[in-house]
Amino acid sequence: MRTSEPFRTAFCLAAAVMEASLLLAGPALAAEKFEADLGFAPYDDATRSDMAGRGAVTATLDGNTMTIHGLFEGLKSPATVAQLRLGRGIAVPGAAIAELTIRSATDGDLSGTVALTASQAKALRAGWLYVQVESVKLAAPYGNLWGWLLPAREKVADGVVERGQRFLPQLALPQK
Amino acid sequence: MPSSAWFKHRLPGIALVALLCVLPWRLTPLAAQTAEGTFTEAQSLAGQAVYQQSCAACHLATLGGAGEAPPLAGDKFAQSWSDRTTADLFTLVKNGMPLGKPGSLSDAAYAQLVAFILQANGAKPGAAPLKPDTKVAMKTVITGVTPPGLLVRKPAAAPADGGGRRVVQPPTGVTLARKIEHYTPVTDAMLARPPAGDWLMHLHDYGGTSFSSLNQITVANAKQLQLKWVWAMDESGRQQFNPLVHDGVMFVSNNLTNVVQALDAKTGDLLWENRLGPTLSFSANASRTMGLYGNLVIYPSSDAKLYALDARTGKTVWRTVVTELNGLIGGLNVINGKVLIGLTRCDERPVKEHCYIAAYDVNTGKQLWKFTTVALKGQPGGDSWNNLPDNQRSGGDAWIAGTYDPTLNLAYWGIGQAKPHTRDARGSGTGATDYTNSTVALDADTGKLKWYHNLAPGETLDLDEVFERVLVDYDGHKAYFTVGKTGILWKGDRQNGKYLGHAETVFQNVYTKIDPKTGDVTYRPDILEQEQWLSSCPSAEGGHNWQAMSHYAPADLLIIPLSQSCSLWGSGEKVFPMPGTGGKMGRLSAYEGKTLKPIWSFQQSASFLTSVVTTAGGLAFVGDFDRNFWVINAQTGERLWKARLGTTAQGFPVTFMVDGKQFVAVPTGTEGGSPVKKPTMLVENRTIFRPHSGQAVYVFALPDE
Repeated sequence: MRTSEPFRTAFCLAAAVMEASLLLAGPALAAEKFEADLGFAPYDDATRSDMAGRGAVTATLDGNTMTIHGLFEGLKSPATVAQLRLGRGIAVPGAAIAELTIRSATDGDLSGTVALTASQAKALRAGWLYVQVESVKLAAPYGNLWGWLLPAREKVADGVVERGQRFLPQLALPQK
Repeated sequence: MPSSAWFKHRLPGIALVALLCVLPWRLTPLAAQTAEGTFTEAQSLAGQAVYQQSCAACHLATLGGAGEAPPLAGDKFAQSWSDRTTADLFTLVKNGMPLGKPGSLSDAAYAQLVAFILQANGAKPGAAPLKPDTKVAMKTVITGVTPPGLLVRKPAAAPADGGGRRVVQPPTGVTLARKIEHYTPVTDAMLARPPAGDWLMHLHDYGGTSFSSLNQITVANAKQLQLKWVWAMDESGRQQFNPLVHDGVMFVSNNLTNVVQALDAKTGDLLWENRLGPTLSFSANASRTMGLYGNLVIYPSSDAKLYALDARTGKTVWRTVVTELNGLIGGLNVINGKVLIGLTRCDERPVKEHCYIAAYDVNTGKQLWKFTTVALKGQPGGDSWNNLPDNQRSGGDAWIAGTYDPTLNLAYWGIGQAKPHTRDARGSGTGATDYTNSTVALDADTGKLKWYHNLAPGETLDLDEVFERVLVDYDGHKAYFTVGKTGILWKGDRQNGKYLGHAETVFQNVYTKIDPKTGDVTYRPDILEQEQWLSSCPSAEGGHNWQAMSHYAPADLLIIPLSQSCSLWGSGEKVFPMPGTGGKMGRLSAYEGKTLKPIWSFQQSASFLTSVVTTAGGLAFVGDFDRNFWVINAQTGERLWKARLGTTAQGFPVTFMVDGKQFVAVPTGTEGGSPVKKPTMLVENRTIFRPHSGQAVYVFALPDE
């Protein structure tokens, strides 16, 4: 699904607000930034016709406080649950560690503030935390959308050539 | 009235009774929970006929599953479907099957099919027929136990319409018999050093480089390329072929109909045609390779026969039945007067015939030697199967053609994974299951094993290491390169198999460590725990698959088509986009062979479904799922030009020269295994739309002066 312009605008505004709040916060400049593409959660032919939507999440870790903002669009049924989850590796699903606030709609936003333990913060830096969005039609265990939180980095458009070693999560992040 | 003390005394007993009243729901075997009447016996019988016609080629007559086709009966199936309904199963089958033609059967036929699957899992028939919207919890009707005799009962006659498919019997034999004059016999010397204007074998040369020294089409003029001719191919089937070109003649093959044709490579005119047959309604295999030798075209048919046709007339010179069991012919190449073929799809256990690589006399079709691709008891590596009897050592498909070093007289083949896919299902414990996932080096004269190196010992996620072995020499040392489904580019010494290095080309979460000195891999712990659903990045599509890389010799670049998807893998597969890719499935990357350093890379929405061809003109040619045929600057990765084709570019492009003019050809195709199924699931009809017909070969060249 192509990202619609209103979605892009809203997301950029949200990101700008977050940037501004970080600037105003002063010491929070040192906060670590993460992002996730919300894409399809695992599905098969039985659930294919219900699978739709996408979104994006940004997160900052300031001390042990993680702040999450995200937008989603294009679900086929209203969102019901958003959670921060701890996997057993990058793209290895795991259990929920915090509930996030999400608008019960097919397009909307999600947010939350979570106090991470030291081991959870370590897992975040290893790429093991993810945001999962469930909907009326696509509930747990995997939900409708998920996105693995990885360090924020520049987006590369289709066909644009990257030189040298590009970002590969398993090489770039400190794995346990 | 009993006293409170009595109650206190009796409390543990009361609790135990209460517990026992609850526990039976948990402890009673599934068999005792089955309900009756979800479908009728007649539906199941009819469904068995549909199954045999449309499903058994992949899922096997036993419903045990093979390759990428999951089991449809048994404990694993029952477990994985325990929390779903019959309506879910109907939807899954209708939305996904038959392979490449989902939804092509009637609802009645799908209901019959589901009825048969239910009965094969112990569900009992009743008076009420199953309907598409019948929603019964699977756990209340299936046990995972197939009733004795069910699979050998005589099924109802197949539906008159073939379950939704019309079967037409075309004429057979040589239907056009023009004689090609001035055809030069292909010699061993030519095969060792292919003439610049020819494309004599799979992946161009014995080294499998897919590199041509032609340089008429260049970075400067590639934008001027234009279509010269198109030849339509038979529809349906896994068309993934490699055209061969010699003396201005292009040889093409049609996978399902087994029609071999010779075309004028300059004009596209048909020169001869041999309709060998049979015409199949489905094949679980793709014929990707043919061979040229002397005046012969060697063709492996999709019913496991090896044909030698006269390259000048198309007439059959000899025919050999390779197997009459379930196996099919995988890779093929011709070395020193021998046709080397690999056997594939030898999945069932107990094994009637192990997969093998065999050599046949190119002039007679007589088998000369055979190398079994799984290590049997008493052989080197024979102790790596957890002491399983030989007839339980399944898999080791040789479905990709090997390469050859004439100076060492060694043939290098990659061997597919062990079957069933998971360690616990096959009972191989922690064993390495040699020679699966290995590179094997065989004496080309005798078939004797010189060495083997297992790249993924004990593999358990359908991530095999079977693909092309590309041979490159560096200042006195002889290297080979290969990329398996984990997307790891391996470099090895082809004299002794020793590990020389590796590079990770896509995200993978299968290995937590790869030893930089030995290449030994350490699996993620939960993979070895064999939980029901395991995350696998890449998915069974692989970071790399049969779409071969090319070695661009002028800059020592390995240009590799890569795919980016993940899955949860259990009894069946659930797919999801690869983290960090933004849902982009296709990636083309270049690595320097000597150092394994990444040089350039780009990604796009569409998977690349052709091999890469590079040329001395500084170009790389590659095609994708979204009908694009790309010309890339091999040095920089810059996209220079594209043509939009009728459907997905699929197969092996070639370049050749006729009458002083360079051409480049690319096949199109619509069906296939996981490299087609994954983009079909993730991007087709979302961001990419394509016709499901239009198999052809397209030929381009610069404008005539």
